[in-house]
Order: sequence, then structure tokens, then C-alpha cells
Amino acid sequence: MSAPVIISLVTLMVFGLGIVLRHRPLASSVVTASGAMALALFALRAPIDQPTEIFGIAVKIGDSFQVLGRSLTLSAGNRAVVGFLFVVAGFVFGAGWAARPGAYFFPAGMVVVGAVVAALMISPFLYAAAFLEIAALAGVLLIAPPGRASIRGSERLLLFYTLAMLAILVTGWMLPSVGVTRATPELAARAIRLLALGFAVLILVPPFHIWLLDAIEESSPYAVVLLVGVLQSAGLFFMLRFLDNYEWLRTDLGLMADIRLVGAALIVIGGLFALAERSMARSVVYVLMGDLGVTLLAVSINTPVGYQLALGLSAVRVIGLAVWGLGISVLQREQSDRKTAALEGRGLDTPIASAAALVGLASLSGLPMTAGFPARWGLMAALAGQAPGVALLVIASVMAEGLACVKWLRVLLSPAGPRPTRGHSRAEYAFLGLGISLVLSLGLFPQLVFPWVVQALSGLKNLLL
Amino acid sequence: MSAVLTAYAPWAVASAAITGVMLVVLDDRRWLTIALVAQYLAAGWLVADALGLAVAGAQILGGLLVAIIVWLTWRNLEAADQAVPRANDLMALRSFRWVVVLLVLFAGWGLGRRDWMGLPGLTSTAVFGATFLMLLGLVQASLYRAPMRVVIGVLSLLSGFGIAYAAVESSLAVIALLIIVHLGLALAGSYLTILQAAPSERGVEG
Repeated sequence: MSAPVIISLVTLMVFGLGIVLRHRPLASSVVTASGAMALALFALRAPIDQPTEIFGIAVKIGDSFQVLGRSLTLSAGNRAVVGFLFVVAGFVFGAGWAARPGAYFFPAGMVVVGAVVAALMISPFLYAAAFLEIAALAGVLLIAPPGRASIRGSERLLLFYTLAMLAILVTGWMLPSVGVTRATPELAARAIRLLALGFAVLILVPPFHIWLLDAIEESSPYAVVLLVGVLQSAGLFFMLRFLDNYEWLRTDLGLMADIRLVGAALIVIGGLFALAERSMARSVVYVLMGDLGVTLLAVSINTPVGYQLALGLSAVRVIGLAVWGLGISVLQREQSDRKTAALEGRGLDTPIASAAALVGLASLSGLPMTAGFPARWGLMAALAGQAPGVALLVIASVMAEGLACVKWLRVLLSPAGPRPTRGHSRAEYAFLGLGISLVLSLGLFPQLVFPWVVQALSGLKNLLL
Repeated sequence: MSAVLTAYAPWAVASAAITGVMLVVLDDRRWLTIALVAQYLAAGWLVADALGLAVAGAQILGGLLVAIIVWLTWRNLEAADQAVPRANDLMALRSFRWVVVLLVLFAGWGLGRRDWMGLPGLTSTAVFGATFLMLLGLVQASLYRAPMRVVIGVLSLLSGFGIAYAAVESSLAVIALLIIVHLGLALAGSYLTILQAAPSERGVEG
């Protein structure tokens, strides 16, 4: 049996159990979290293509599975990323019962993660676009659970991801078949335009972020966090695979300058709107935009260090998002109004959940002592020599988004009238505390996550040259 | 057989355009479902020109399943007419829809004559068919607010793309994935439509 088949079967099994247990959040959470963690362990540690013994029976797990002439492969190049995605899913599913994101969260979340993992394993990799579309289709169940559905957000998600799939499929066909190189500037420009459209959707460059604005406000933020974290990380890794595969793309200085320009624009737009927004959820979308801008600046350096920093930022972004999502979900559980007024004083009556929401937001903003800071520090050091102006932009982004954090801190601590609040269980405290500790630990000890980043990039050999 | 398909391909293009227009302009759920089936048949015809009848047959079969999902969804929601735009929706004005459709048809005609896709091996009929379906699908997905109408727009867009892509890529894996995406979109549209209708249905009952 091959590793991709084992991963697919276990994913389907966990999905089935998640469906059966959908009305029992705790059981569903335990099953899906355990399944995801077991798959992470398998992806990271299983002896692939080596004879081994399980319960005294000699077995050999293959690395590849053929389907309709195409192959799904778990290789040294994608094991770390696949493992990371399952670890993140395990963490998010584990804490999910406290956030109560809807009956379909666990099974649909498993399908989303499974489809994204298939996108990472498929070869030729251009077919990944179709798997990302399937992930978006399953994502509809995440952002539109009964009773808390974001219909408009779902419609936009479907339209945008379909456009992205079409753009990437055409580009994926053009690049090897038509002979697009630096010597064919007209074709190269057309391919880059299509790729830009596809990746703009996948990594949420405006205006393709509007589905997220709808979804995060109308639906459960925790469910949206899983969807956006997984899809955006996959989109970034997919982009790096394109750069790794096509030498003319990564040596195109004009393209790198354009990526830097887009990154700078995202930092400015994200910073301004994060400050101006009156809803914390929408504010986080713009902080996320600024974070993406910083990631694109790291890509634009076009060096192994730059790519490592981009992947590192992507990894800690998911953790920051999950912690924020857990905190805000617990805060919002007793109210339907998501605007500023509804959060006033919540830091006084629900301090741990408020702290989780703020620490997650601070990490996304890249404030010192949080998980988002070390990669920004590294980026500033890398940029200081070659583009000091851009390094200043990174500092400006941290400051603008830091001000947004201060604004929400003031809101949470401002005095408000008495309101009935529900106490937390010990397990809720434990998960909220664990999330906060994780963000702070990664801020103090970034070496806990960066070896994984180096391993994840080892599959993209051309980017390391 | 191939010669017959090629000879009558312009009829398939005309059918694709007419069904695309019907899907944007009409509100009657029965006619919308019939137009959707006819659109899959027209798109299948144009795909068969490039990939052969067997592959086109699989796509048409997938399309028929999509139409069944759409029809069953609408039939089960008799209390709330999910196909008709609300009064405050711009698309509620039928004259507006006709103006939009005419503009799109003109734009599609202009683009089709220029072979804007520039894909090798793509016949002019396939270019016209793909262009009309993609543009009309995009318009429908962008302007309507009812989930099933949006999804039907996305499906038209995807059908148009399928016609063009068939000329350059014959991989069964991609075709199978695209059929799965068609079915997944129909199911997602069905789910969202039922979800949106749920409060009003409860209102009718209670």
C-alpha cells in the first residue's frame, strides 16, 4: 500500500466519523484531532519505500499512487508541509469544541485539509488547482453552517476559486506546452498575467479578499480561520513551486519588483483599514492583508533566506489566526453583535478569551515577543542592506497594526455596563492558555518552528540555489 | 461522425449562446433547468469535436446529474421561489437583464472574431462557443444574488472553459476532476439555496 492511499483512506474514515458524531462536538473534536495528529505523525515519520515490520508482518509503504495517469506522491519535498498542515488541523480541531463553530466544522474541515494535502501531493503539480477548488467547495460547509451561514461569502468564494482554477490550469498548460520562456516576451507576459490572477485569488490579494470580509463577520470566525489559514498557506506554497519549476519566472527581475510593489501596497492598505474598521473580525482581515504584504516582500528578495522567511511567516500566521479565532469565538458565543460596542469591557469579565484574541492579533501584526515577530526581524535584517526603504515599510506595518491591537485592547478594557456572562470550563481555560503560550513561546524561541521551514523548502531545490 | 459534428458545430454555438441568454433572462425554474440541460448538450457537442464522443458523453452525463440536482432543489422549495430576484435587486428589472445580455453578446462576438484566446488547435466555433458561455456565466454569477443562480453562472463559465480547454488538454484526469467540480458546485448551490430558504419556509409553516 502507498502512503497517499493510507492518507486518503484515513482522511475519509475520519470524515465519516465526523459526520456520524456531528451533533457531539466533544467526541467529534477528539476523533478529528486524533486523526489529524496521527496523519501528521505518519507524514513526518513513516518509513517510506523502506521494508519495515508492523506487528511482525513485513510491509513496505510506497511513496506514490497512480490515478488516471497522474500520480499522488508523498516525497521528501512535501512531507514537511503535509505534516505541518495536519498538525495545524489537529490543533484547530482539538480546540474546536470550545469555539462551537457548527456541526459540519469537523468533517468539512477534514475534507478541506485532505483536498489541500492532495493538491500538495499531485503530480504534475498544475492539477493542484482543481484540488484547491474542491477544498473551496468543502469550505462552503465551514462558512455556511445552518443558522450562521455566510451565503454571499460562500458565493464569492466559489466564483473566485473557480476563476483561479481556470487561470492556473491554462497557465499550467501554457508553460510546458507552448514553450513560454524569457525569449517569448508576449507569451510570457500573458502567462504571468494569468498566474497573477490565479495567485491573487489563492493568497487573498484585494479585491479577492471580499469573500473573507463577508464570511468572517457572518459566520463562525473559528471555522473561517481554518479555511483561510489552510487555503492561503497552500496558495503560497503552490506559488513557490511555480517559481521553483520555472527558472525564467524566478529570474525575472520585473516580476520580483511587481511582487514587492504588491506587498508594499498590501501593507499600506492593510495597516490603514485595520485601524479604521469598527468590527474586530474585519480588522483582523486587514491585519492579515498586511501580514501577507510582508510575506510577499520576503518572496521578492528572491534568495533562499527570503523564501524561508516567507514560509516561516505563513506557518506562524496560521497559529496566530487559530489563537485569535478561538478567543473571539468564545467572546462572541454569548452575543450576536460583532461591532465595537459588543466587545466593550469583555476583557474585564472574560479575561482569558480576550487575552487569546489580543495575543493572536498581536502575532498577526508581528509585535515583539509574539510568534509573528522573529520572521519580521529577519526580513528587516535581510532588506536593510539592499532596500532600506522597504525595511522601513516593514517597521511601519508592525507599528500600524500594533496600533490596531492597542485600539482593540482599549475597547476590551473600557468600562461597560453589567452583563450576564457564562463561566469557562477548565478545558476551555486550558486550550485558551495553551494557545497563548504557544504564540508567546514561538516569539521567544523561533527555532522551534524554523527547522520545519528549512525542511519544507528542501523539496524546492531550485529556490535554494 | 466527426465530420457531422464539425459541420453542425455552428448550430451548437448558437444553442450555447441561446441557452446562456435564457439562463440569465428567464425566471421560470422549469425553463431554467431545460436551458441548463440544453447548454450541457451544446457544450458536449463542441467538446466532442475535439475529444471524441466518449469523453463528451461523460461530460454530458455529469451535466445531466447537475441539472437533476438543480431541479430537485428547486422542486423541494416550492414555498420560496429562489430563482426569482428580489424586488430590490437590480436583476429584478427584466429590461436591465436584456441590455446586459445584448452587450455581452456583442462583446462575445467581437472577442470571438479576434480569437482572443490564442490557443493552438482551437476552431473558430469553439472560440465563439467558449466565449459566449464564459461571458454570460460571468455576468450571471456576478449580478445575481440567489445562490443557485450564481452557481449556474459559475457552471456556465466552467462549461465555456471546458470547450476551450478540450482543444489543448486531453488528459482524462483533468476531465474527471472538472466533472467532479461541476457536481460539487451544484451540490454547494443546492445546499446554500436550501439554507437561504429555510427561515422563509419555517415562516410559511409556522
